[in-house]
Amino acid sequence: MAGNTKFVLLFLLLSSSSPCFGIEQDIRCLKSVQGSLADPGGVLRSWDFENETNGFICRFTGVECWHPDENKILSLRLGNLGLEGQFPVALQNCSSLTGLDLSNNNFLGPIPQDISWVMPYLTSLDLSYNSFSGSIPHNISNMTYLNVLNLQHNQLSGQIPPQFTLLTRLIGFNVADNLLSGPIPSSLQNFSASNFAGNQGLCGAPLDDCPPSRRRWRPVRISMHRLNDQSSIGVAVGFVVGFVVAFYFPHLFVCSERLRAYVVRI
Amino acid sequence: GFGSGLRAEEIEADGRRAKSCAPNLRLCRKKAWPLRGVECAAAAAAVGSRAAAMGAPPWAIWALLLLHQAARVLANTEGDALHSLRTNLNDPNNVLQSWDPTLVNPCTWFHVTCNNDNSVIRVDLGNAALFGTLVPQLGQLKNLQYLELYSNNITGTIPSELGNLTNLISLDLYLNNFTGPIPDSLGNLLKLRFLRLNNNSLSGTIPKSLTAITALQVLDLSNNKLSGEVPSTGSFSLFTPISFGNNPALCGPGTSKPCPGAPPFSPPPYNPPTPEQSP
Repeated sequence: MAGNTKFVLLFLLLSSSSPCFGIEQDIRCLKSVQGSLADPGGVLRSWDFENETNGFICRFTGVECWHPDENKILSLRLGNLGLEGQFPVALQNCSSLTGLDLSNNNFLGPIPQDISWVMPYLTSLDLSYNSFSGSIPHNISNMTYLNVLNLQHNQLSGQIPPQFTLLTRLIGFNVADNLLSGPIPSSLQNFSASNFAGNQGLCGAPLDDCPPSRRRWRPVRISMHRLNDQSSIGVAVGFVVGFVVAFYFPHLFVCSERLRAYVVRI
Repeated sequence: GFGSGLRAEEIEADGRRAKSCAPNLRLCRKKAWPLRGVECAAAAAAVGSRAAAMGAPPWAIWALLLLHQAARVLANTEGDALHSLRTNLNDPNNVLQSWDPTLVNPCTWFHVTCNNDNSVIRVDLGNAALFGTLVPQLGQLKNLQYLELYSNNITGTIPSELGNLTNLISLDLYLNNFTGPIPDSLGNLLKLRFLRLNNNSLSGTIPKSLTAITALQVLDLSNNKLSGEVPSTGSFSLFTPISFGNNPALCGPGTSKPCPGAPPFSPPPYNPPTPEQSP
């Protein structure tokens, strides 16, 4: 019992102490990001790691630090730089990162499924206007400090994770112009409908209601579908034929001597 | 500008002296050289004569003289306030050597920046090896925007008078030895964007009044001895455990401890990914 108590105490002690926010790590983080992305505009190339002084990375383009003379990165604003490549998972080393803006670039590939492990403390994530594909990671629901999540104009498919109800601090949310489908989590219903527009089958508030159960309706929908398109042509043809037979053939019967026997006198 | 560059000979030649020169002399700094009294008179005379030359009515001349003197008095108040600070600080590196209290205003002092009206807007004393305590008179720097006192060995409490600095954009007291509470009055600093008090020995709770500062972008209260609940409303919805780390007695969202008496807060703390989620 004493051993268990010690273990519990040790566990509590360790869990209450803050994680180590290493500062040398942030330099490594930026170097890796610089190396992992194609940079036709040369902005990342301007990051010069030659003379390492206190806070030298704080002067890099796109880098904002917690304190001006300490190499601890608060946010990275790398929008509109013509960057190419996959999502830079090297950002994992920027352990104090709270803001990430990669918008308006040429990123492609998936958003990492374990993104909340890579950057757990993000308050603002903007990946809009890129070519990210695959599904929205469920894992994002663990990033509970998110205030703004902008995924507009990518090629993301699948559903909006229902666990997004856990994102209680969200004041900005946009997934317009993707390939998303399925129900919109109820916690997001107060966002404008335009923030969900341009997808493949998103339903639920603020958009139109979702059908009660999609599987049962499908066969009926198909038959009604047939009734709507090809059946209407058949109906029209039938009507014309019936009209012709009803009015032309009796004339034949009446006027033709051979068929006269078959005519029933009313 | 007025009051500078007028020498004794010019005053004799000026002839006319403003009638209210004697009271103006009282407004001048007591510690000033004798010549400063003459400067005041000369300035008053210069203002009065220029106004008269432009055909201004007498009441306008007195108003101008009064305003002129008032402006000079305000500048002196700010110099006095900073001089009080200097008196309270030990300065082994002599960074405050240029802080000459006999000057008209502190705007020529190193590490002090003024605006076009000769009012102090910046005090930059980061990394200056200063010891000692702050003074309440700092609250008199009405136009102060940046108060940079980080990385020193300053002790004592944060004066609540800092809450009067309603134009403050940045308050950096981090990496010092401040003790005592974070004053509630800091909630009055509605233009504050940067509040960095980390790495001190501050105690007590985090004032809820800070959540009303909507301009707040960067908050760092880490590495202190703060206690109680971490606010998460208002501007504090932007702040993460990084802002509050290493304050063992803090509880609530943003820490690993729920506050006593409260239900377990939601959302649950972060858990490492399960094997199927990792790539």
